[in-house]
Amino acid sequence: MRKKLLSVLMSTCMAAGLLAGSGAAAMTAEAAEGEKTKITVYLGGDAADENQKIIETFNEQSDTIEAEMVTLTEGSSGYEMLTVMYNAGNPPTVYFMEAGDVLKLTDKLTDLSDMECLQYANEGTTEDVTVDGVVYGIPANLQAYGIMYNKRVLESVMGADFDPSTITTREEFKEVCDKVQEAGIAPVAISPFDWNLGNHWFNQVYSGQSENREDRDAFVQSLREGTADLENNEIFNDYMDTFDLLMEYNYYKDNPLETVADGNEKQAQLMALDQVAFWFHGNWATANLRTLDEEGEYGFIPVPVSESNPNSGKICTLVPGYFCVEGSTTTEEEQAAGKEFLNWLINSEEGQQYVIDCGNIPAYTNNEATIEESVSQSAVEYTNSGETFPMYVMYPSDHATQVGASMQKYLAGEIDRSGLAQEISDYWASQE
Amino acid sequence: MKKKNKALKNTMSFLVFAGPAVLVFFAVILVAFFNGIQLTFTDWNGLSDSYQYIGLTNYANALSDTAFWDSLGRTFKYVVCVVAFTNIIAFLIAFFLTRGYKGQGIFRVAFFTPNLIGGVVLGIVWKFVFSQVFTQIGSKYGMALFKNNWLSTPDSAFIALVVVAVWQLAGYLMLIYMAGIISLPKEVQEAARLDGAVGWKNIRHIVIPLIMPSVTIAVFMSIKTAFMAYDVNLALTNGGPFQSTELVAMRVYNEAFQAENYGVGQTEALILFAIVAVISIIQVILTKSKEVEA
Repeated sequence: MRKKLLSVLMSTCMAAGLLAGSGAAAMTAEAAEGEKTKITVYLGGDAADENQKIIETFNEQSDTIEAEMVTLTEGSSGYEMLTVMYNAGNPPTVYFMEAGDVLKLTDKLTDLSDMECLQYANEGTTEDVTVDGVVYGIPANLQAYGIMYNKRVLESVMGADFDPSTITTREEFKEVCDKVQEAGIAPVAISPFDWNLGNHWFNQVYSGQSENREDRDAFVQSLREGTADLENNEIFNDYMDTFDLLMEYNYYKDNPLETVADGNEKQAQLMALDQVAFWFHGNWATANLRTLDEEGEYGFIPVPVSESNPNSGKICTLVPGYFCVEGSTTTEEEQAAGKEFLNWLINSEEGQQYVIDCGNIPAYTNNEATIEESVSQSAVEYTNSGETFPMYVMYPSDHATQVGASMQKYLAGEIDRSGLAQEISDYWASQE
Repeated sequence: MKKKNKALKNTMSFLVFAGPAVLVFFAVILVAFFNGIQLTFTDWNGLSDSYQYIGLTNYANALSDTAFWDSLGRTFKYVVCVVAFTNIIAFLIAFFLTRGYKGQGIFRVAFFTPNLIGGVVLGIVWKFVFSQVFTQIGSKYGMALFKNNWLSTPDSAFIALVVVAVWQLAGYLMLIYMAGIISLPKEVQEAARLDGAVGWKNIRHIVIPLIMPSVTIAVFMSIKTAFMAYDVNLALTNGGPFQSTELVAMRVYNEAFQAENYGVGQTEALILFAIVAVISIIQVILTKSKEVEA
């Protein structure tokens, strides 16, 4: 612990030194070019090349602002890095954060309610970062998840065109899985990671409680208070019935946690090499799939549940992060420059293409870039027709590791369903 | 007058030679340490500008945090395994590589090399070995031992952690033991041989007692390293599956930065520090008492 703290301290000092050095260099360049407002920008931990490119493009086009990219420190989460940068007194002017983290930092953020781009934001994408009518972040992009299918496998097994809308119930899903299994192919891949099981799978239990936001919050509140009966909850059991089905058809049925220490490359490989037909995952896996298989067609089917479940027939969308403008250490000039950068990022042709290049789905209706990738296309079809439900994101930051661990135990057969309900109830009840 | 001058001179030379080191030690260790102790009495979340003193609440929370005590118990098991295996293996390697066999230099380098690889890199390399190489071997030759990924079940993942730690640390301790064995007085060895102390008797009654100073250092080093293990733990298993291999250093870090209970995490770090300090002192006293003069 002490060692860790020390190394953080030391690397901060060194990073500060580096920044100071490059700052000085940039300053001389600036003097030559005239008065440019200098801002630092952190666009998130993924897609570093695309981030670099879009910032360079912005700098070429802008006469008044010079943006400098901040890259994620190896081995830390974005929020951890921001914590360190704040403690060192040099946070980025514009930065990317998850909704829960935005809410923690509202006293350090600029009010973005008057941003021009917000009028184009997809419905329901800003509610999570709005406090007392003030919007503190603008959605960066959208991601979607559900059960991904491999069209090639399904069509060769069924001998006909595959229409994803034919699978909405567990029975229909089971039928298709049986056919796939008869053809000697394992039907399903499950990524056994805590974030996947804990946050992505289990959050459906929260969002499925009601279509109404207040009712969902009320359910989670009752979990915190320890009054909810999770074990007999209809939606919980509905989703766990489906999970049992996935477990039964799992490629790694004999040892479900086989790949727990790896990334999702293994599942992507199973999918791309036609060894499974379905994979519970999201559009961010596209990059992994495409390195192995540029041609294949993939898409989403909704997670099959009972028809009475409000999430039935829908896929889940989430805003992976929001762009915020720092408001406690920066000058007003820098804040204005940060806002201008963000408006450009959302509205310009290059900025709209950037979202697609990163493999994401646009969160703004004015985005006109064309999408050719089949996974993203499938996701956009659902968002355009409104057949989506928002991921429930108001959970504590250790939700993935704790609830994910309980789900891993369930997947590995260490605990049964009532044990799972008990562990998760205990976790929520221990939150303040 | 002359005496006074001498005292001044002493102070000056102390400042010149030890001053910078003392200053750095003070700035980066002592200040952080006492600041850390202070933070255990607050509700700081790691980021906010202000915090409140909340007395001993963090200590109460830390004492009732079962996950922390579970991981501490697991860490004890880990420390016992790592300390025992690394020291036995390091001693045996050192013993045989000081016999004057041909090519022993190459072996010395080979055994020491893992120590030069950073923990995170080492973890990633071994993760590849466990999840790709071993499983391939297992499925190709039908070996039950390698059928499943070792990192996929709690017990085998724990063994994997120990294996990697021993592999990394043994080479370093080998150096310490080798230094001890090489400096053994020749005449004592010869006299022992004449008196019939050969083989195991020689090791047990001559070599080990005479290299006790090396044992003290090596055991101390391995205890400390094993208690503080974090990087290999992070890169190899990341505490999984289902947090069954989360060692105490990782537990403390996650409590502070992931669950964002900074005060509780800091308190647990302090408890860990106290435990490691007490154990190390006891160990040093015990092994020191066994040291003998040739």
